[in-house]
Amino acid sequence: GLGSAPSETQNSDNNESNASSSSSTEVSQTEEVRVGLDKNVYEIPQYTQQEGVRIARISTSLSAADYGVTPSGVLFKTMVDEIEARSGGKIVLQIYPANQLASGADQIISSLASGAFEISELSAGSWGDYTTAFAPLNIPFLYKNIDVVHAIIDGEIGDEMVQQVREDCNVVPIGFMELGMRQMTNSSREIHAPADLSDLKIRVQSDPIQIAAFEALGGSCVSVPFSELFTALQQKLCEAQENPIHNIVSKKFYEVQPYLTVSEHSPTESILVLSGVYWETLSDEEKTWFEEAGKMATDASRVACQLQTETLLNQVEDYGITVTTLTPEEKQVFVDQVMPVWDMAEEIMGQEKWNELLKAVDKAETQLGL
Amino acid sequence: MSIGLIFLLLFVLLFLGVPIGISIGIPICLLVWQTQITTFEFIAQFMYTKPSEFTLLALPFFIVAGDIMDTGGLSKRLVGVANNLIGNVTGGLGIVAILGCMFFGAVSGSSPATVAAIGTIMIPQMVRAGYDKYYATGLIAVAGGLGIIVPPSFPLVLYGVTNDVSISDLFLAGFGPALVVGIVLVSINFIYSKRYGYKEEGKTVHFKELLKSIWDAKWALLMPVIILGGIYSGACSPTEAAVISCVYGLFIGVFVYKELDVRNIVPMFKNKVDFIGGVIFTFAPAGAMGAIFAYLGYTTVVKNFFLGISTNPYVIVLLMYALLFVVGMFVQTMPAIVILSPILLGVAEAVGIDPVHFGLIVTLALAVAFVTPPVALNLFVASSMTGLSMERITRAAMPFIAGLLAAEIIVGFNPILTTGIIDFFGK
Amino acid sequence: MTEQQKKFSWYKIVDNIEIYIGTAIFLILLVLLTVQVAFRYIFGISFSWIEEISTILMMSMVYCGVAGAVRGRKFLRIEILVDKMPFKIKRILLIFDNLMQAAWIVFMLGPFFNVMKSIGGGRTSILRLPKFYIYAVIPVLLILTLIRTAQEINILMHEHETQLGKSKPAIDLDAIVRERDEALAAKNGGASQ
Ligand code: NA
Ligand code: NA
Repeated sequence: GLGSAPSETQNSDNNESNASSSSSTEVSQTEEVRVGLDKNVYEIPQYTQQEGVRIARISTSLSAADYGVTPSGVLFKTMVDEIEARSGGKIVLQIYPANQLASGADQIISSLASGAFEISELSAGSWGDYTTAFAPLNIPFLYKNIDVVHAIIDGEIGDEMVQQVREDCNVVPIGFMELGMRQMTNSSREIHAPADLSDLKIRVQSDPIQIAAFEALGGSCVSVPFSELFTALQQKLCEAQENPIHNIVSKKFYEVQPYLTVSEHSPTESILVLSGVYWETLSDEEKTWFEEAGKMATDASRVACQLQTETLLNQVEDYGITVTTLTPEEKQVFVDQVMPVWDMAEEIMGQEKWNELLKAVDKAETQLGL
Repeated sequence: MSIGLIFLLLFVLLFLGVPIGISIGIPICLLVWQTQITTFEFIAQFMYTKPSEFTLLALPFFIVAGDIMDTGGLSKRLVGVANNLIGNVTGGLGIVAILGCMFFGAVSGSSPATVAAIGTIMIPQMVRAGYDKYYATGLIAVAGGLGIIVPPSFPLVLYGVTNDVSISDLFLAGFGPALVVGIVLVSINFIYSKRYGYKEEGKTVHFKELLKSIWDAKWALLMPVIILGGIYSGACSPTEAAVISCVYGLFIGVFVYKELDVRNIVPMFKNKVDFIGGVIFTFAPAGAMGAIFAYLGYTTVVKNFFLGISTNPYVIVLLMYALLFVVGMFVQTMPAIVILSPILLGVAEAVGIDPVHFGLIVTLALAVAFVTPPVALNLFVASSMTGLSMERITRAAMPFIAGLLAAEIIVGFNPILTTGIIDFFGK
Repeated sequence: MTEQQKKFSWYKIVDNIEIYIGTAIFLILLVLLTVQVAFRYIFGISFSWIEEISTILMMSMVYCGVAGAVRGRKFLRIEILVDKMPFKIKRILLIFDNLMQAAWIVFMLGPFFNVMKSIGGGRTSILRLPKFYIYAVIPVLLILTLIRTAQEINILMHEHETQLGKSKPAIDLDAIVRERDEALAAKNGGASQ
C-alpha cells in the first residue's frame, strides 16, 4: 500500500554529520536499533515568544525524529534540557532540524555572523575553507581508536582548536558531537591491505587531506553528494565509501555494499558553536551555563555513540553482510602507506603544531596502554 | 503583518506579472523586517548558495540538448521509425505521435519543447491523413506532457534539487508513470479513431522500410540509451549525462546527419543564457522563503491543516492532486515546484508517502497543468504553431486530459509503479 | 562586412556583454565536464577541482543570464493578466514590474555586502580561491542588472503597439485541409464517372 513505503533520503544533509534517523526502540545492546524508519515519533519542543524568556535558535542537520535518540539527538536534548534547567526557564533553545535554515560552511558562518540564528553545528571536515583549527581531526589513520580522539579533544590541543576557531571565524565552540569512527564498505571483497582498495572507485568527503590519503592507498576517489551516494553505490558509479556505522545503517548502504571493514580510520566529530556576536551579549554566569551544558552534552553523545556503534555493528552482520576488523598489524600497513599524506597535514597545520599533535597522540596512547 | 497578508501580497505581485523571484523576495523581506525573526543577510546568502548547486547544472544542458536534437535532425528520424512501426493500424498516426513524444521525451526534459518538436512533424501528417485538425493538435498538446514524465525531466531535476532527493532515483521512477500515461493515451486515441475512422488508407508496413528507417535513425535511437545508460551504468552523474547528451547530439547533427551547421552551435547556447538566468534566479528567494517559513512555523501550520482533514495517504494524494490541479490552472511548473513541493512533501512524508513517489505525483500534476487553461503552456505552443484557437484545441483535448487525470490516480495510488522500479533494480 | 556594421557590432558587444560572457562560460562548462567524464571513463581519473570550478562558473553564468533576462524578458513570471490588458495598461504593468525588481535588488545589495564581509576570509577547499572575489561576482552583475533595468524601462516607454504584433503560425493547417479535401473530391469525382 501507499503508506507502507519507508521514507528515505529526505534528510537534507550536506556535511553528513547527522545522517542517521530515529530508532523507534529504546537503545539497548540486545534489541535491534532501527534507524531510518519511523519518522516524527519524537517531537522537538516548540517554544513561543514569552515575556522575559529568551530564545536561542539552533540550526542543525539533525532529523526531527532523532531528537533524544541518536548520539546527535542525545547531544541536543541534553543541551536543551540543561540550559532550560540552569536558567530556570529564562533561556530556551529552539531547534530547527534537517538543515531547514542553513547548511554548509558559507551559509552557517555568515548566518552566525549576522545573527540569523545563534547556535549551529558543523562537522570537522567542513571548516577547511575558513580555518585550519580542526585539521587534526581530519587526518586518516592517525588515531588508534576513539579514546585517543577524546584525549586529544579534551586536552591542550582541543583548547587550541577552540581558541583558533574563535579568532578565525568569530564563533565559540561549546561541544563536540560524536558520530563515531569512520568505517569502509565496498561491493566486492574483504579489505585487509591497501592493495585490496587498489582498483576500487571510492567515494570520500571532498577534503584535500582525505582525498590524498585514499589516493595514497591506491583507491581512485570519486566525488558524490551525500544525497546521491546510495544510488551511486547501487549503480557502481562508486564501489566503496567510508562513513560512520550510523550513516551506513540509516542510509541502507549495507543493502548494496556487502563488505564492511572496521577500519576506524578517522573520527567524525561535529563542532557545536555559538555565534561570537551572541556570546558577547551573555553575562558571565550565562556563559558558564552554556559551557557546562556543552560539556555534559558532549559526554552524553559519546556514551550514546559507543553503545549504539557496537549494537549497529552486530546488527549489520545479522543483515548478512561480511564484517571484517583490521588487526593492529594490518592497520599499521595502512598507516605506513598514508605517511606521505601526513606531510601535507604538517604543511597545513605548521610544523610546530603538527609535532605537538604527534606528541599528544603518543602520550594519549601510552596512557591508554595502546 | 499576518500570514494572510503576506500571501496576499505574494499573489498580488505574481498576478501583476512581477518576476516570480521578486514576487517572493519582496514579501519575505517585509516579513523579516516586521517580525525580526532573522536577518536580511540570511536572505542574501541564498543568492549565492542556491544558484551554485552542482545538480542544478543539469538544467541548462538538458535545455540545449532539446534544441540540438531538433536542429540536428534527430527528432525527425525518431518519428520516422514510429511511423513505419505502427503507422498503418487504426489511429496509427495518433500512436506514432504518442510514441514520438515518448522518444523525444527520453532526450528532452521539457513538455512545450516536445509539443513543438513532434507537433511540427506530426500534426500536418495527421491532418493530411484525414484526422480532424483540432483532434490532432489537442492530442499532441497532451502527449507533450510525456516530455517531463519520461526521464530526463526538468521538473524532476528541480524537485530533486529543491527537496534533496536523488535525481537518478527520480528519473528511474519516471518510467512507470510514462508507461501508464502512454497506454492510457493510446487507448483513448484508439477509441476515437475507431469511431471517426482515422486510418491511413492503402499504407502497409514494409518490413524493409521499417528496417531502413531504424537503420537511418540508429544514432538518434542511441541518444536516450547513452543518457540513461550513462546514468544507470554509473559512467556519469545526471549533470554529466546532460552535458554528454549535448556533445553527442552535436556530433551526430554535424558529422553524421550533416543537418546542423557548425555556425549555429554557439548561437544555440547563446540563446539560452538569459532564459537560464531567468529560471534559476527564482531559486534564491524561494530557498530563503522555505527557511523563513520554517522559522515562523508556517510549514507546520500547512501540515497540520492537511493532516487535520485526513491522515489516510489515499485521501492525502487526492487532496494534493486537487490542490495542484487548481494551482496548475494558473501557475507554471517552476513556482509550483520551488514554492509548494517542500511544504507539501512535509505533509506527504507525515502519512508515509515516499519522497521519490511524491516527486512523480507532482510531475504528473504538472503534466496536467500544461494543458489546463487559462495558463497552459502546451496549449499556447500548439495554438501559436497552428493558429487554431486555444478554446477549440482544449475542447478537442478534453478526453485526453481526462485520461491524464486517470493516469494520475493510477500512479498516485500505486507506488509500485514508481519506487517499485527502484526496488526492483536495487535488489 | 562594411566599416559601419563593424562599429555597430562593437556597440552590440558592449550592450550585450553579459550574454557573451555567459555564453563563453556555458561553452567552457561544456568542455570541462566532457573532459571530466572522458577522463574518468577512459583513464579512471577524476578531477575534484573541475566540480569546484564548475559551480563557481555556473553561478556566474546564472547572474550573467539574470542581467540578460531583463531586456530579453525571460524572467519566469505569471503573464495571465499582463497578456490580457490593452497596450497602454500592459506597458504600465511592465514598467511597474521592472521597478519592483530594481527596488528589491537595490535593497539586497547592502545585506549582500555584509555577507561578503563575513565570508571574506574563506577560501575554496580545493583550488583555495578567495571566496570574497567569487561572491563579488554577484553584486557586480546585479549592478549591471540595474543598468539593464533602466534601459528596459526606457525601451518600454517608447515601445509601439505594433511591435507586439502577432506572429504568423508555423504550420498552415487550413492549406493542408484544403489540399486534402480537393484530393478527396477529385478521387471521388473520378470514381463516379
Ligand atoms: Na523527458
Ligand atoms: Na495550466
